[in-house]
Amino acid sequence: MLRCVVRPRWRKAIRDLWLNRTRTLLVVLAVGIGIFGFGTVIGAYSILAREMDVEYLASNPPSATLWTDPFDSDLVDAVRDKPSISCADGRRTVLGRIEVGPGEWCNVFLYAVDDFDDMRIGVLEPEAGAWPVRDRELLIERDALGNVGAEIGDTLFVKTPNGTKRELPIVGTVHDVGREPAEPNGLVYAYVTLETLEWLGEPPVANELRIVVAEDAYDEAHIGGVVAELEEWIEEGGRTVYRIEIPTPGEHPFNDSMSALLFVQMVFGWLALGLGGLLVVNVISSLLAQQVRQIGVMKAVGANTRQMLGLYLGLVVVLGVAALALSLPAAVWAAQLYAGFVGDMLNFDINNAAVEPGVLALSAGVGLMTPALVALIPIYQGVRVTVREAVGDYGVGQGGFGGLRFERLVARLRGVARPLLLSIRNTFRERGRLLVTLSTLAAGGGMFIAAVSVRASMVGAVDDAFSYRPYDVEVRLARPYRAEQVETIISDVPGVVRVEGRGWSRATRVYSDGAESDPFDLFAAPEATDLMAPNVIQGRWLVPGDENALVINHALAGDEPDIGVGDAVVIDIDDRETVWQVVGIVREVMATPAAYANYPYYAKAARQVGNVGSVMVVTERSDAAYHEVASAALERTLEENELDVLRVETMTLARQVVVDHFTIITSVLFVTAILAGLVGGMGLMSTMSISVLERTRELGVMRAVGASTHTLLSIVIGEGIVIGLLSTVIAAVLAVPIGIATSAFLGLILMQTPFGFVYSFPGLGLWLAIVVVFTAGASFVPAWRASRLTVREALAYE
Amino acid sequence: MSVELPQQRDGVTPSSQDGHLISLSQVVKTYESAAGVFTALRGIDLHADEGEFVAVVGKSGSGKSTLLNVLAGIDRPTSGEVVVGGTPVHELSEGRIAAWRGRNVGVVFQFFQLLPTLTAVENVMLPMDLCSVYPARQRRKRALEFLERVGVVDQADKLPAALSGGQQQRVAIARALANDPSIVVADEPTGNLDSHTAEEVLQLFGELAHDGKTVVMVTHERDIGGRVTRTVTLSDGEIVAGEAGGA
Repeated sequence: MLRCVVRPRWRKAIRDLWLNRTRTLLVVLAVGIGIFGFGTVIGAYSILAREMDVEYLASNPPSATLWTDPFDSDLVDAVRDKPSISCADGRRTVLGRIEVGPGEWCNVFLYAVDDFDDMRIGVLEPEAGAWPVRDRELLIERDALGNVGAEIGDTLFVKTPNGTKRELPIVGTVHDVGREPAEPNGLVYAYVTLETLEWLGEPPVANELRIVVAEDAYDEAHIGGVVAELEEWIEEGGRTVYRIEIPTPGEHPFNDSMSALLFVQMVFGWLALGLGGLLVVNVISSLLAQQVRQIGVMKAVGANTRQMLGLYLGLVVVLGVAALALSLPAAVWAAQLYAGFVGDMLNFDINNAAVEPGVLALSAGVGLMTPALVALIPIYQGVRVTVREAVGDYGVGQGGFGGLRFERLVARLRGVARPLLLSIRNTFRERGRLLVTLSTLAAGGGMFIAAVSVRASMVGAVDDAFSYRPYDVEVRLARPYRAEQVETIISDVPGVVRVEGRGWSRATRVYSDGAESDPFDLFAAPEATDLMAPNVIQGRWLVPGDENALVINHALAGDEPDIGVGDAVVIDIDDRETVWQVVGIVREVMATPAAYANYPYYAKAARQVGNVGSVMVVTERSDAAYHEVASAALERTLEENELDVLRVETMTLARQVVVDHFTIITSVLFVTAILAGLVGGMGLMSTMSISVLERTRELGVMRAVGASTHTLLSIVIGEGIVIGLLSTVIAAVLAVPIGIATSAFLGLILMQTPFGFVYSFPGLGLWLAIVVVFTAGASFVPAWRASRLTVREALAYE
Repeated sequence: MSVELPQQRDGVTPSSQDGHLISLSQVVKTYESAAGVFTALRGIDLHADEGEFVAVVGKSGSGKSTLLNVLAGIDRPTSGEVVVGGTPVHELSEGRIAAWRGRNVGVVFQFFQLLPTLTAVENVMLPMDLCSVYPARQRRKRALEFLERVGVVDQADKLPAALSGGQQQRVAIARALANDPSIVVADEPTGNLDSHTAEEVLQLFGELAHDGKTVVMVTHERDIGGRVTRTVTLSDGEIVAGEAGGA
């Protein structure tokens, strides 16, 4: 029989929980939200960290890639025979155009290998349709299928840089693990045979050698050594090695940004847990406040402090277990959902969505320990009251108001309606509780406003970065054409108001020992062009009359860290070496390495006088829809005039790609911020119900002296709103450091530079609205309950 | 209402050195508040023996409740000695006072102070549970015996809210008796009861004294003289009438 087993004091504890169901639920939810936030974050972390690498490593990623003069399978076989190398593959990559709609073209990376069944490195996983691909057929990366707007079986036109245009069927999809996701970047990855490449007018030979080292595959220095030997060996054989790429061994290419993302999330997760903890302090102290008299009675009949401590700590543990039972499964579910979402965004599969037992244990431990620890202080204080204090008859007027200077100040407030005055003064009666409520609400609000501001900062940074390209469409031509011809043709396209041709070459830096850097883009605009408003971070921008002056972007400066403003560099353009003077460094958004020069000097140096390689176009309108129409028209016109195009990029689309790229991160911030706000709101709700409970007798007195229901309601709701407004003030301030730190951190990761912080006033306004609605709602229930008590009930209330 | 007390526990009522069960000497109690220092008790000397029923009377603010609190170990004297059953209560730590009180003093309050979420019988079992004096299996049976003793055994499984004031106070008295203390203190136990019920409760206290308990009761009741063995009158923290005790 339960009655014999459970001791009366425990029976009391359990019944108290049941009688105060609303409050019990609040505590369970508060702790639960903390555990949920924390568990979701570290659960997702554990899944993603494991799965990201598992699938990537299973594809046998290359230790290094070398770009050389064309080679055949004999060279691959010879490399495969080397003892220091475990496998090698050759392939060729061609950047072409693919027709994704009538007159609408988009970039396609054509990866060509000799034999798909013999692929050993970066192995493709067949997803649907045919495998392997035969000649004159296309396989498409699964994530890119959406970008081509076609399905397996459809036939599409593909154009290559040499101008050939052919129709190929899509016969299947593959999963190319470790490749940058195609969908958000508006790219298309396609896989063809070398024979298909020949049919498309491109050389049917590999020029990209990918290798995996035999030993110490995760040792970057060792790989460097092997690759250096291999490079020497290849060059001895008469081929030039143009470029070498050694990725961080054993790590998914997105590991860095992923870790950063998860780190930010982790910080917010801990914050959520901390807020949950604060809320627990609040609810437990109020629970004890209500129990003080009963604790006194129990002590009067023989209970000691240790027993009371055990009783109330036990209570907290029970609540913790309940919270855990609710939130841990939810956290696992959310972690899997989120990991799947991120996997989808980054184009990798979660094959095993299990959350590690260690992670579950950690969440459970933290979830149980945190409330117990934070509750220790209020519990200890509560159970230490003496019997006399506890059973002493308080009556009305407790709460120690008037002790602090600030309170006397509040007490001197004049000219305010009496009920509002009561609301304001009541707010400051329980200072400790007010502090905790304010901190929870303010921290939640701070995180919310900060998250909105971080998003605004990101968008601001992107807009900023795009404002240096004040044109609408950029056309990259497959090879240089006469400027007059191109400009005349494009000017005739409807909607085009201005055309500016620029020189464009692929260039390399020549080092003092004769070696060359990776290639970068060299652009040359007309002197004093106003279609370029660069963000100069060092030195200066080009001025009319500059001859061999060169401005490099931060990406190139990052690749060639020894270049400073004022340095002379030797640049190789189409095998002609010229000396340039670096006069400045500019920052660009998500840019590849590039340099800028004045057209007249460039044209002479590159022997391209009168030729242009790219064209900036200004259109009548600058919205996305207009851009789409205009770019299609441009592409059509260029094709009709037999000008081969590498790509046509509208600024709205380019900007959208970047913003989408950042969206995943801001969405995570938002979710966490909303969680934090929720915890804060529940804290307020509990504070309000507690303060009303404690003042029930006082409310009875007010009733007795004639307060109407409306007055009582407005006093209590007023108090809630006062707290809400106060917290918003703090949150508004708090959002600044949180926002600056987060923006700076994310900026460094995503754009290699801190985002300039933009304070989101709409975000502040939104939070203010949420707080007012929330606080009014949170205090309405207790207020309404209080207003329904009769005077007699209220005065007899204990 | 004259049922025999349930089984007696051994060795709970040792006498103090001077032969009295309760011995207060030169007890002073002052309170400090924002309004200044307030002296509630000014050098009280009081003794009481086994089986005595002592009424403490006096005006509001005369120090009656403070005296009772000091005696029961609920409050600590500022100076002076409180020796009960040979135990120097004023020297015990808070934790040990709680344990000592649980076994040796039963407390009855004016507002009953039953725990609202426990039934009558559970309220009575609570002190036994807290002090672990009786085997767990016997507690309910004992508690029911006490409820029968005070005449509310038929209300045993009701929550306090369902009981009348008189019934609640009887349960509170049963709870005070739960660990078979040698002393029962009561702070205006009839203050919240109608005269008929008050009469019954006073009678109950008389019987307890008759059975060998020492009962110290603060009261406002008039005509108490006939019921108690001794009346002590307090005024401004001093005993102004009634003997200090069998010196």
